[in-house]
Amino acid sequence: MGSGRDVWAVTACESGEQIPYVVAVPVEATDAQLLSFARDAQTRGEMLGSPKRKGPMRVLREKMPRKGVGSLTDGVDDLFIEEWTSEVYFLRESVYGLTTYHHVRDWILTPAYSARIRAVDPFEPQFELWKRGASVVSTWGPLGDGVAVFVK
Amino acid sequence: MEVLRRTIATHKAMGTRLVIVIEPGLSSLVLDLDLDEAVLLVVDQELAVLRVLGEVDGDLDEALSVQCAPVEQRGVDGCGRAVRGRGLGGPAAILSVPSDPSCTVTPIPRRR
Repeated sequence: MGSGRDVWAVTACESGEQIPYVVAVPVEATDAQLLSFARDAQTRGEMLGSPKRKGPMRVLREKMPRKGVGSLTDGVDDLFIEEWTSEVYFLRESVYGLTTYHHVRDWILTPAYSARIRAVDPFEPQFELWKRGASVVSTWGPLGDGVAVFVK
Repeated sequence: MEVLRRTIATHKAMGTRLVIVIEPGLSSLVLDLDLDEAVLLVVDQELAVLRVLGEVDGDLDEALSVQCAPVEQRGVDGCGRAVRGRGLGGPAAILSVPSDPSCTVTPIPRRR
């Protein structure tokens, strides 16, 4: 490619074609900064109906496990599907292919949603976390009930 | 317009260039120009971003939301690699190519 950057590919769920994407180089951040974004994400999620989470909030600088983790803002995730517009429908997969991270996709498309969602802008903190190579999730089971910020 | 600004912000974070392909039929709405060919907006520098935003006449979000029959896929030649438009079905495509100075962006002739 000549860019010195890794290019990865995912298979599009609708068209089945291979989508190339570039992995972003994360910005360094302290635990305090990451936790601030995570708390903001939790607050904004609760404003739109995501359940309150119990337990501690921590930063784990390790690979996120496949089990015992879930979306911190699942109520908002559902809302974003319920309130699809034609603009969102047509741009959704195209925008997803940019980063292959669904909360970044939803942050980009937030202006196409209702005024209630735009006012909260629920995924702004997740976008800031993504720029720092991090993502926030709820945890249970072996990880214990709580909220965790995983950093690559 | 805000969707475009956020897309640009994402590309800046990734260090990639943003290429927007706009169908000829929409160029008058988006750029206040009546073009016969598709328009490629390459957004990779602050000045370029400002220029593009300044030329937009009308609401780009509305332009992107217009529904039409499925359009043929377009592509750009990024560093010798064909990058196909994706997620099409609307009048515009958003593509990304590595932000390499040697990387050229040229339109691939539309399929008839």
